[in-house]
Amino acid sequence: MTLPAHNRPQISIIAPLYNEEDSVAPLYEAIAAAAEQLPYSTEIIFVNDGSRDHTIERCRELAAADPNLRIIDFRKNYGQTPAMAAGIDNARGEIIVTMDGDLQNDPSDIPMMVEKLHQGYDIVVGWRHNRQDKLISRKIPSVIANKLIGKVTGVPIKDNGCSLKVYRSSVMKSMPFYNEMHRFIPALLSLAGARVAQVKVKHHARQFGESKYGLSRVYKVLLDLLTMKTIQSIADHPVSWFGKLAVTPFLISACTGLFIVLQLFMGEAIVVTLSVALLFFSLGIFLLSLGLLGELVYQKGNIDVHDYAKLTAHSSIQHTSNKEL
Amino acid sequence: MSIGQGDKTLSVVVPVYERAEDAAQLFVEYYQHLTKVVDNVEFIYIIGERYQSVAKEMETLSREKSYKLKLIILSRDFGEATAVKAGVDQATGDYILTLPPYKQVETEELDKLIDGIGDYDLAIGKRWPRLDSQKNRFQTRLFNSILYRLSGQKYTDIGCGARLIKRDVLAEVRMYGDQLRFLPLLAFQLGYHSVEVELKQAPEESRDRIYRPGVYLRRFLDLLTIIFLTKFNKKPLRFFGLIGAGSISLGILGLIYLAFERLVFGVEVSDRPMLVMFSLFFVLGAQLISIGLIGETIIFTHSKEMKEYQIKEIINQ
Repeated sequence: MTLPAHNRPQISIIAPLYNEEDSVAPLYEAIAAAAEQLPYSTEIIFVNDGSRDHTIERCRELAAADPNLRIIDFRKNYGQTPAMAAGIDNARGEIIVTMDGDLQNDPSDIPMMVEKLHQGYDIVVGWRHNRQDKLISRKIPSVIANKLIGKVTGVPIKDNGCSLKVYRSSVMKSMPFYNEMHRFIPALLSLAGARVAQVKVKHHARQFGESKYGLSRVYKVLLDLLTMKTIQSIADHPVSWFGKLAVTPFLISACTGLFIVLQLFMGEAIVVTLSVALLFFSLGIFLLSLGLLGELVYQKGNIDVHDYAKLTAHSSIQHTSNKEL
Repeated sequence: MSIGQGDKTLSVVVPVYERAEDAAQLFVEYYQHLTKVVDNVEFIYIIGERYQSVAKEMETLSREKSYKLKLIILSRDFGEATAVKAGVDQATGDYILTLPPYKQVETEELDKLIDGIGDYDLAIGKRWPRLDSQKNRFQTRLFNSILYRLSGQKYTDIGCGARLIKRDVLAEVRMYGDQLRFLPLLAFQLGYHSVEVELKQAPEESRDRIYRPGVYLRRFLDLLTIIFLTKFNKKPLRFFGLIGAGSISLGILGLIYLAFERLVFGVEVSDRPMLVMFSLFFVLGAQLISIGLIGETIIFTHSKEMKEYQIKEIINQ
C-alpha cells in the first residue's frame, strides 16, 4: 500500500502498549498535543503487544475518532523490540519517533528532538537525566550498564534504555532490529556511521500499572552486549575478532610449553602440564576455525554494512541542500 | 463457525508412517463416520515408502468405490511432519484434521474435536479415559512433564495423533522431520492458541509400547531441538551462553583455588589432574560461548528476512 507523497505523514510517532488500558487515552492526548506543536503532518501508531486487559478496546475507541491514529494489534505478546519493529515497518513518515507506552516519557519533548534531528543528525536519543525510578533496582544498574555499553560498543550514550528516540526513517527501516536490540540502537546505527545526538528529556514516575522489568535483565544485557560487540567486530572482519579471542589461549599454551621444557630438564613428569598446554592450544585452533566459519556466515548472509554507510552519506547530502534552501 | 453444517470444509490428512498395517480398513471406518458428521469432507493419505502395500490396498479401495480420497505416495520416509505438510499442500479444506493411521481414539469421539475447537486455532486430542497400561501412561506423562519443564507450556497428551487445525496455521508453521507432535508449541510461537479435547482411547491401542532405546534418544533430541528453536531461535547466545558461562566460571574458580593452594600452601600444581579438569571446564565454556556467538552472527546476517511478530489486525490501515 503506497500513498501519494502529499498524503503521507511526515512524522510517525510509535508507542508499544502492553496492558496499558489506563494510560492509552492520556498518552494519546499528550501525543496529539505535542503533534499540534509540530509544523509537520503526523501519524500516531500504537502497537498493542498482546495485552491481556482492555487496551485494544480503548485503542479502537480512539482510532474511530482519529484517522491519523493507527493501531497494530498483535496476535500475542512478543515484547518491546518486536512491537517497535512492527511500528517502524509500518510507519509512513520520513521521521520516526519511538517512545514508551506507559506515560513515563513526555511527548512534549518531541518537537525539540525533531528540531535537533534537523540540525544534521540521523538519530536523536533521549536522556532521562532526572529519572523517576527506584534507585537500587533501576537507576544504579542502569548507570553501570550504560557505562559498560558505552565502553564496549564505543558509542558513549548516557541512557541507552530510554525509548524516546527520533530517527531518520530511511536509516532506521534498513537496520536489523530484533531480539531486545532496542537498547543497542545507537550502537547498531553507528555501524552505519549514523550521527547520534543526545538530548535531555523529561521523565515521569509511573502513574498506572507495574513496571515490567526487574533486575533479572542484568544477565540478558550482558549477553546482548557480547552479541553486540561480536556483531560490530564481525561487520569489520570476523576472523580478526575470533583471532583476538584466540590470542589468550595460544599464550597460555605457549607459557605452559615453556614450563614443560623446564620440567623436562629437571626430569619431572609432564603428563598434566602437557595436557593443559594441548587443551588451550586446541581452544585457540577452535576459535580460529570459528572465525573462518564466521566469514562464511557473513558472506552468505544478506547484511552488508557498507550499504548502510551509503544511507547515512545520502542523508547528510540531503541535509546540506535543505539548509541552503 | 461450524464445520458440520457445510459452511466450512474439512480435509482429513493421514500420514501413513508407523503402525499402519490396518490403515486401509481404518480409512473406511473414518470415512463412513466423518462423511456422516461433516457435509464437505475430503481425505488425503500420505503414504511413506515403507507402506507400499497399504498404498496398493487403498488404490484398490478407491477404484471399487468413489471415495473422495487423494493418495500421495512418497518415495522415501520424510518423517511425519513433512508428510502432513505435503498433504496440506493438496488439501482444500478450511480445517485440517490429522489422524493417526492406526486406531488411537474411538472414531465417534472425533465429533468432540469438531465441536470443541470453537474459536481456538487448534484442537488437540487428549486420550482420556486411557485404557492402556501404567507403563504407556507413564511414558506419556513423563514426556509431557519434561516438555512442560522446558517450555513452560502445559499439555497433557501432546503426542495424540488426532488434531483439528485451522488451515492457516499449517500453512504458516515451519516444521519437518518428527516435529508434528510439537505443532501446538510451534503454532503458539506464531500466536495461535490451542485447546485440549478429551477423546476416549481405543481399546486397540492399549497394548504396551516399549521402543528401542534409539527411539527414546531421538524423542529427547527432538524435544531439545524444539525447545531450542522455540525459545532461543533468535537468541542462541542466551542458550549457549548460560551453559558456557557456567562451565567457564567453574573452570576459573577451580583454577583460582589451585593457584591459591600453590601460592599459600605450596602445593605443587604440575602433577595434579585437577588442573586438567578445571582447564577442560574453562575450554568447554569458551567453546560453547563462541558457538553461541556464531549463532548470533547467523541471526544478525539473516535478520532482514525474519519477522518476529504476527499481526492480527491493523486499524486505520
